[in-house]
Amino acid sequence: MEIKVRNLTRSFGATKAVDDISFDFASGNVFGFIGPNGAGKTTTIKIMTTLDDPDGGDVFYDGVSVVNYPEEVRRLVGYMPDSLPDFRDIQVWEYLDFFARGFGLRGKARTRTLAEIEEFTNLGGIRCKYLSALSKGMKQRVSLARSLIHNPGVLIMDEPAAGLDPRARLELRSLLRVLSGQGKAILLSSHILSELQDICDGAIIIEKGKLLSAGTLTQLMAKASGVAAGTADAAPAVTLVIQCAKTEEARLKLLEHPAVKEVAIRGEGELQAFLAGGDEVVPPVMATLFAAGLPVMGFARKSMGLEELFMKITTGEVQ
Amino acid sequence: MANPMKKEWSDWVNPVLIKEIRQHFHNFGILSVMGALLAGELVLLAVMQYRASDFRGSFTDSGSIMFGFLVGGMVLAAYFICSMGAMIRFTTERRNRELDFSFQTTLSPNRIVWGKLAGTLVMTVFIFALCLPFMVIAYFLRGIEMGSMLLISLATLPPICIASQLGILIGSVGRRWLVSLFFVLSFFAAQPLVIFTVLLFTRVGGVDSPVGALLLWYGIGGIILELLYALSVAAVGSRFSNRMLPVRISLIGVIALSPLIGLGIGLIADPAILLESMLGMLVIAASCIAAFCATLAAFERQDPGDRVLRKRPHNPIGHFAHFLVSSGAWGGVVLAYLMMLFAGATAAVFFLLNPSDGADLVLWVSGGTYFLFYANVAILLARRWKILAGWGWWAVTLIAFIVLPLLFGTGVAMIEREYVPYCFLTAPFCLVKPELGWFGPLLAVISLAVTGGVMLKRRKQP
Repeated sequence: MEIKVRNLTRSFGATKAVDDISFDFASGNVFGFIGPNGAGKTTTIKIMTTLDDPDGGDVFYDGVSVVNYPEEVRRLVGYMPDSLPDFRDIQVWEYLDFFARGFGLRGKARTRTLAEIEEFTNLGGIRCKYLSALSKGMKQRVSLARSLIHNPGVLIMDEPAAGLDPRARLELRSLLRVLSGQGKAILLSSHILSELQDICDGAIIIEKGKLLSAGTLTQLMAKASGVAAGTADAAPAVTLVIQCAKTEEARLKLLEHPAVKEVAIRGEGELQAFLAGGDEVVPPVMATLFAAGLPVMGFARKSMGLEELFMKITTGEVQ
Repeated sequence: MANPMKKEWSDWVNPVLIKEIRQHFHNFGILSVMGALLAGELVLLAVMQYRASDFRGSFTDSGSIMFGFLVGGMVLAAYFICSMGAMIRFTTERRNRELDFSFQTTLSPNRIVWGKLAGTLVMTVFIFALCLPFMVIAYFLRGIEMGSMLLISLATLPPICIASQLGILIGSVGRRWLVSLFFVLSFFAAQPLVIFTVLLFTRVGGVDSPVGALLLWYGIGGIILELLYALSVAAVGSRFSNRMLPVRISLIGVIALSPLIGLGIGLIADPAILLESMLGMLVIAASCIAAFCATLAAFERQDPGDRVLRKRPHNPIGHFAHFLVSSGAWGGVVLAYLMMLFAGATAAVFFLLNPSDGADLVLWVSGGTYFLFYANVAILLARRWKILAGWGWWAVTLIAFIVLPLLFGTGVAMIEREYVPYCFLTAPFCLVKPELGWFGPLLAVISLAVTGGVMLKRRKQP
């Protein structure tokens, strides 16, 4: 399924919460929706899930518009909010049963779907608990179960890992991998960027309602590394951290190599080299140092983390 | 091979109703009220037994007293369980859109509101079932007839349904302070309501046609319920949807049902004037509904969105009908004028049949036209200056054309009482002098021409 967000705008009074945002993502991918607090993530997600109406623009799920066909969109999208109601008079199975009925599941198909969902999200032990009696982790599992009941092609999750213990996070991560493997398009917003890095194929980064960057992680990192290394193109780039006693000599030697774009001395006995090209340029660059007889104590290929990427993009280093 | 999608019996039932019933029987508050009702009934029975033995069996009104208490208890329990219960639960669900059931499924607003109302009806049946054995005992205690018991029991249903639907409507707004306000106001309203009900019930015995009284009661109740229901459906619908469609259709339905009330009144008062009674009620209903329709139009958005326009039929008649009943202020105003024209025409027919009483009905029509005028002014102001919402400009209009003349008229009354009605030319108060009845329609026609001109001019702009 193709999801296209086009020129989305939403204002609250004089404040533009979402300002002309456009991006795409598709089935089989997990995309992270990243931005600081108040960036407009939740507003965008609410519009994408028909919980709010945009002032301008639209979102299309395989061409189905959220503005014109919200009921149809609800069949295509599963939304997992960051919280669950605290009702004292409704049990987990009743809650899920209501949604199954609400989406038109009938008879044995409903019973079977509910059993499968409960097994998938491991809710068997808590199905007779009231919603108010659930822990945060349990609520997240119920919320995920609810969003999957109608087998949507797209899953949109708002801070799914917030408040979860490490074990619950691991469980959630493995569930997301399974769902992604099933061909679902998943968009999840989170502040825990290290969590996202392990499961996301791409990221959409917004700040103050504006889109800063969007693409696969490789594209974004290449872009960020390329800019850091001063390259105009956004080809894949590698950063090497090298420990060497003679830093200045090593820096000059490295700069002689055509693949090395920039070298920075990070501290006593440590340099950082930005290389144009992929992993294949690392051996010849290091060979240059060894051939010159410089005392290289060690080196490491440094990959840019999502946190670093996020910081680079949100601080304006990447346009 | 068995069809996995084959329906079970419960698949025929509204999912919201199933959810509501389940929640009712898990809810501590609701179960407590049911328990308190049962305990109260047992205490009542014990008191009646004590009084009967005290009067050595001569206390022959025990049955009617016990029945009165039972009906009171039933209505009170229904108020807490059906009205307050539904209101609090719906408010909790609607307060946060992310958690709101109605935004998470493909259930239509109509199914959601109907499920909620049906849930309260089921609870009403349970409450009635809890009281029924004690009502049988009340009958055997003497002092009340079976027919009266049936009539009074049936008469309690419309107020319970209206209170429940009002609870659902307030709940659909999703504001907690409204629940508190309703709770407080209902205490103030309780006393006049009880007095009114007691007066009504004591008069039922003397009425020649109890069926007519019941028809009237159910007719009024049905109309109020229909309006509240339609408003609830509109409130649950999303901002861009055709929210006004159910409201406008229900308003037309109210006008269509109004002769039933006239029939009830005619049956009670004088079966010889049935036609006049029905026509008279039609005029009153059409005038009031036209005023209400115009007022609602002033509150809604001025231009229908794409979602509304997309479903507009292409043939001219369907196109116009869709325009009248769909969201959009201008459609509402035009519909209100058509209703008012209908009211005027019906009043004319009434006048031909009964020239002596027709003048009073004309005043109803004239009074209603003022609200058309206010709506037009509010729509015009909202289009020109967007600093206030539609309802804000409507409030400003009322202040300008009713409140200020009222203050001015009070001053004039101290000097020369005769000129006071002329101070109220922009308000229906001037109708105390029936000769001024032409001024309201005049204002309505002028304002329609101005607002219509502005609207059409705006529409022609690219």
